[in-house]
Amino acid sequence: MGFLSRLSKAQRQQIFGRFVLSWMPTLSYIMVAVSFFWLLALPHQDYSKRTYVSENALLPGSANVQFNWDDNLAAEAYRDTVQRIASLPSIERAQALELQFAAIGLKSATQNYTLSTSTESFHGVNTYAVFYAPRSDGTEALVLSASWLSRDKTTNTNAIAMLLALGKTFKRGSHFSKDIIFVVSDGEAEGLQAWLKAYHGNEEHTYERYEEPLRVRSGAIQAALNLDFAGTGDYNALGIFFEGVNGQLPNLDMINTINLISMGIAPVELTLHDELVPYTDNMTKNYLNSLRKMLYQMKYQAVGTPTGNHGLYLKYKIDAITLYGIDRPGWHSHRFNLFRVGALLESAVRSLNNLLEHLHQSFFFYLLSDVRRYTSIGLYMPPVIILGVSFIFQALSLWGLSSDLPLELESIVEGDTTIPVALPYSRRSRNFKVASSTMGMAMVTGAATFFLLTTEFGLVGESPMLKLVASVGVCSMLVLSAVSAAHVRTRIIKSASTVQKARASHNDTKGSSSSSSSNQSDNTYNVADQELTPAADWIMLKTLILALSALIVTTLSALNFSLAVSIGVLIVLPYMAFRPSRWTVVSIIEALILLAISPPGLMMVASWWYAKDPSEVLSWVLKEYEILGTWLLPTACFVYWPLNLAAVIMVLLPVS
Amino acid sequence: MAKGLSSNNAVAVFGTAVALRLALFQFPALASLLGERVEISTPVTSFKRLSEGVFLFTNGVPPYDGGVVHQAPLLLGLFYPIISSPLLVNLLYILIDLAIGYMLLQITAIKDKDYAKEKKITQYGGKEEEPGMSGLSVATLYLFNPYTIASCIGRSTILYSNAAVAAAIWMGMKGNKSLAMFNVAVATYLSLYPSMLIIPVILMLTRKIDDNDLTKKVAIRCTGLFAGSLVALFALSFVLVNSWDFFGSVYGTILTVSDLTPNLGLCWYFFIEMFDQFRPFFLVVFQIHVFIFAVPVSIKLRKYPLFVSFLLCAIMGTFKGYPSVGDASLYLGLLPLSSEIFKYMRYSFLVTNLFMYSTLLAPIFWYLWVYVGSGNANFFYAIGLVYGIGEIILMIDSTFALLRRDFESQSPPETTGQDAALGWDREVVQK
Amino acid sequence: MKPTSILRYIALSVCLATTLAISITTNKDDVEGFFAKSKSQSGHTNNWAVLVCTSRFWFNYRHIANTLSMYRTVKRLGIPDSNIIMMLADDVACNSRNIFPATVYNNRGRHLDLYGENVEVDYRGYEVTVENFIRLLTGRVAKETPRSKRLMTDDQSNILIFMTGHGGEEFLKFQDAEEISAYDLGDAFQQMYEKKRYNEILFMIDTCQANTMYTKIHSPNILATGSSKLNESSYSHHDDPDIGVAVIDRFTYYILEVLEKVNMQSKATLKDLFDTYDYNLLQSTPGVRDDLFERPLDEVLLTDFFGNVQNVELTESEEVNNSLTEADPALIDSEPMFIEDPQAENTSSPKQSASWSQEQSHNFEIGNPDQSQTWRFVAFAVLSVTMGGALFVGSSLV
Repeated sequence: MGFLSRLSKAQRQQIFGRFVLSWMPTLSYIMVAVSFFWLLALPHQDYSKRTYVSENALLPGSANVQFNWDDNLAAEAYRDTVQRIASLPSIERAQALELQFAAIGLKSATQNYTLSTSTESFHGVNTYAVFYAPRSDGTEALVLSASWLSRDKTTNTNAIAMLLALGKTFKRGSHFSKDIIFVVSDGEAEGLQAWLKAYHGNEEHTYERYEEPLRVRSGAIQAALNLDFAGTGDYNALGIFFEGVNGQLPNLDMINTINLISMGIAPVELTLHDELVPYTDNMTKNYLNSLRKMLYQMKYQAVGTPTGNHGLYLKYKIDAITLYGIDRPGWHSHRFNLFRVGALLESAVRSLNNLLEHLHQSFFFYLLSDVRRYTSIGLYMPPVIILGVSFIFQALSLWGLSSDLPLELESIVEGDTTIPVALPYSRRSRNFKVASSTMGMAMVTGAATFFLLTTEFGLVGESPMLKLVASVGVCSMLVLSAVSAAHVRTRIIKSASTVQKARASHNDTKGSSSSSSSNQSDNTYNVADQELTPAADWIMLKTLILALSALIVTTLSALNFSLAVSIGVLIVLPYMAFRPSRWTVVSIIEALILLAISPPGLMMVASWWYAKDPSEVLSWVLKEYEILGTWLLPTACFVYWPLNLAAVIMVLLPVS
Repeated sequence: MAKGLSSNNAVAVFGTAVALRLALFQFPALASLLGERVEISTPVTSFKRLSEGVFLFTNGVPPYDGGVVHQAPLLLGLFYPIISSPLLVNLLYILIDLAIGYMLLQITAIKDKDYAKEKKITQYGGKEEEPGMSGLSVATLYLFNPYTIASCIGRSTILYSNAAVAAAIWMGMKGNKSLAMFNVAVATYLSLYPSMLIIPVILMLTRKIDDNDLTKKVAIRCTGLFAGSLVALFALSFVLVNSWDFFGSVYGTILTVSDLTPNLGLCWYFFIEMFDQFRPFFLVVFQIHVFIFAVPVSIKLRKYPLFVSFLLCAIMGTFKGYPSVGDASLYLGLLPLSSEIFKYMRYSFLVTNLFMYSTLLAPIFWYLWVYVGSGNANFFYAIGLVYGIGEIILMIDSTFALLRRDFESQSPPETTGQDAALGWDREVVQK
Repeated sequence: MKPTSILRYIALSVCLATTLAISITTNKDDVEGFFAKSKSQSGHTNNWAVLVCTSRFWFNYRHIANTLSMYRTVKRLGIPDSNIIMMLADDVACNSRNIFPATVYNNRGRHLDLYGENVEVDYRGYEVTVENFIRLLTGRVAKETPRSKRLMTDDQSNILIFMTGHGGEEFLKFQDAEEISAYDLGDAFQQMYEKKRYNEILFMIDTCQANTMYTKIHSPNILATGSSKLNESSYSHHDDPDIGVAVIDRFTYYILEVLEKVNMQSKATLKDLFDTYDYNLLQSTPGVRDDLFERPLDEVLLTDFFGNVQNVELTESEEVNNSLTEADPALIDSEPMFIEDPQAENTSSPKQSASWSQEQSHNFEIGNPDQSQTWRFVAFAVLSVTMGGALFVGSSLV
């Protein structure tokens, strides 16, 4: 019939399957390389675009500012007042400030709060005042906030003086569509957090957490500017901080607005964060500067800590940034004083006042390599997805190798016709019991660690570090018991199978001789009567680890790109390359490397890097979780550590 | 009876299941969080709405007037005496969940008995095919399925419908016509779609009858029993709430998909986007689509009524207007009843991954859409689609596996001649 | 007979004959020729203006200022408020963001408050919709629509239609909610032509890619001009830094610059206006479409559209009725309001549609005794009643 040259479907599938399985591991390593290269290329200028204001309503800097010389004098007078009251106890300075706001003619009040974490306890008083826009319906508001403590750990004098002066300026105007709320918060983050909670009506009244309900209110907050102008002097440049809790970002138009204003009506040198980078024509230097800025952003996003109090607003769907006055004597740029800051802030508020709805036109997902250049999600997401896919490819190739479905065909002989057919099922059974129970145990251990760390038992000498040491102990017990049990089991099975094999080979010789005598023409490869030994446990466990890693990296990237990238980059090579070795030394080295990238290992690395005590690092992580609700601790305990534990167990499992 | 239950293993499994659920119920925040999740409780299964209904009923207000309550009147009657005690409510949920596990165990036992009588398939290495999973494994898979646990802790009322389905299958396998039909009727009464299970349950009841006329007679009697039970249930409901309003509120809501709260299903987004004039047409198309598979599937796979009931439950859970993970927990619980087909399945890796990804990503995208505001409805719906694809691939793959095993049992690899050439993927190459 | 009496008689006869001859030979044209429509004259008897601002929101201040400026100009040149239909979101004057409450300015100098005098906005806020605009043009307004919201033009009306807002290729957005396409506009004008609702139209549009908006007009006697060609944006002219927004668009600004020098007696023509178009000033390519327009542009006075010059028309007695029919608002009132929404048609009960069609056929007989038309209409009415009934019965069954 002329079909001689044609392969059957089953044969084509077989060839394809073999090809794919043999190339998949290589392909996945190539993909990892591509992903790494892509990530490194992101800061390059060709990958970013210039930012632009997307929201038509904003009209940044198109109106004259009304902040005049008198206001500047007022600001300076307020500065002295703030300086005077700064050293008073919380309650007294809050009340003094309340009076100052009231004197301007704003409705002002104070708010008490108490917050206890597992390690320390905070108490403070916030002051806030509302300027009710005379011609608006009071359904919307903007917030200008400053905390008493600047990020330099000095008094935020200029910022608070600025709030008062702006209050005075705004009081003259009648062109506001939104009320303006001034908040001076106590402490670092906890003060503003307490105020925001109370403003949105979910204040708590327990012993550990108490937030006084607010007496003065306004409408829904549309946007917020947090001010950080430490000291009483002038500034070289204005830094923008924008990373919020858990890597959440404000709408890019927030930054674009300030950017436009700083180039026009209130000229100041603008930069990201607190770094002043000299402009160069040197490509390499520019690249390195961009890389540093991006890494700075990604670092804060990954650990989930906001870079300023603006980050707290983001949890309530309020776009916010922190404006930080950088004072670096000797820097070449023109210094600017409160007058310029006032103009800039007034213009920014005027712009936000123009908004008709929440900022939504511009990006919510971006990486900034410079204050005027952004990389959009379409460009930075692919490397993470590629990482995820390379995990899946590795898992798939292991999964494929643990069966013989795509590799083997069986053939049926009828007279002079041979029919190659696909195997109906894998002859090698895949037993997930060990893999899934190991993974389950690891997850339970992780969860237990989390509850251990976040619960107070009221024991004597109880400390987070002690708890962590305890759970590390539990983990090592788990690893030891799982590994030793597996080795013992393998030895038993081996001894049993040698006996079986001897019997089987005896049977085989009998069977094959009889079949060959009965059917002489059967010279084709026939697998029908073979059964293969089950796939090794480590293969199953590794498949599971890789599949879960892909799951974690890709799903996390939707929530927090930087965290996903950090995890992906950290684990991709060890998890893909490591496997139990015949040489115990290699296995142990692999296990040690995995231990180094386990949460306790990373904690040690961090404490060495920042030259701090490990217990300090741990209590910092705990505090961030308890106060701000960052995801670093839950992610580490529920996701990262279990995978790491399972991987440690995997490399120590017997080879066959 | 209950050979499995007596063993220590069974006590351990069921005990752990109870302990786990009791422990989780100790966190009321968790229960209310799960109860609010759109993936777990839908407008027709939400415990919150049920409580509202019971409250209205208690206070003499017609519960179905407000358009909030979409659960059947008898559920109101069931919860009326116990709703004031959360402990009793939680215990009821746990009890029902355990009962489903127990029934799955019993069904496996009956199925194993049937299986023992059949001709064994020869495996590689010349061994006979081993029997499938033990009843206890099946029950364990159901009881510790995260979907089941989430559904139970979230107190979704889909559980009662699921229990009725499981009971119907158990009674069907056991050969108890009236109870089987009554349970199909209860399931139908609670959530309408299980009405199509009447076909596989009749297949189970008649599986040992060779006589064609007798089969027909049994089928007709069963249909009568079903109709009678259903009418009785309706009459009972009428007596309870003293009005027929519940028809519109319970079944009207199910059929017209009038509550467009997002869920894991495929309907809500369509009907939000759709122009009103096309709505009736597509409504009919969507609803017929759910029911249309019942007959062909039952004819093609009539030898495997257990599998048919799995497949129909999976179809319901995929295409109904308000699907939730509770539906998945039912059909994922029924699938291991046909565990002998597992090794013939080809896409288990893919399906598992699709389920895992959609389970994780659905809440994440919901968070991005509703809380953070940086995502939108398309994100969440896309995950609904991924989940739907996972379900559909599972159905296709398991059906393929069943047919492949069926083929294998009729023509084992040694077979020569025409049978082999008739196989759907056996292509003949002539030499 | 005395010769004098004969002479007198002859003179009388001559007089009579002359009178007779004059009365016989003089026709309407000669009398009307005094006012008549020649190539150089528009022949209109009334002027209307439809001024539409399709934007809303504070940052579109300039569009509202454009429209109000144009309103002020046509009013200055004599078109009364009753003949100006203004569609305006009207949300900037009293916007809380307006630093000068209850004013609208079109110039940084703020010499002239456009909102200061008597401003009559006919369609305000959310009434500015595509549907209302098309109904207004075509006259298919609801019965209860007040006079101020009707364009009561006839075949002797010159209409100025001015539109401004945000647009694109062959569309113009209405308040960010919907859009009108160039085809919709062309169809509306064709309906106006068929219904003899205009003599001449000047269509002006100031938006991005404005010239694409008049490409689909195909009805005669329409002159169109737009601010920018395909793929070109139209730009604002300048900001007022106190108000904080752009206050006027370039195209409107430079047109106003010309119109400000025009008074009611002015003999300036449209050609003069179009000749002032300058790419360097506008930063876009303005366009003029005159292929549908019969008169040469250098003979079309600006006041033919922007002003209100009352021409007088003499009519013979039998024509009086006709023109009355056209102009009588009472009869326009009873003109059928077509319901285009199919759903609305579906849901209207058969009873209603029956009474509606009866009424219409009745009107029809009075206005137009053409038998075949009447029968066609009766057939239509019967069919629509049957279909309505069938739909009603069908829907109630379903």
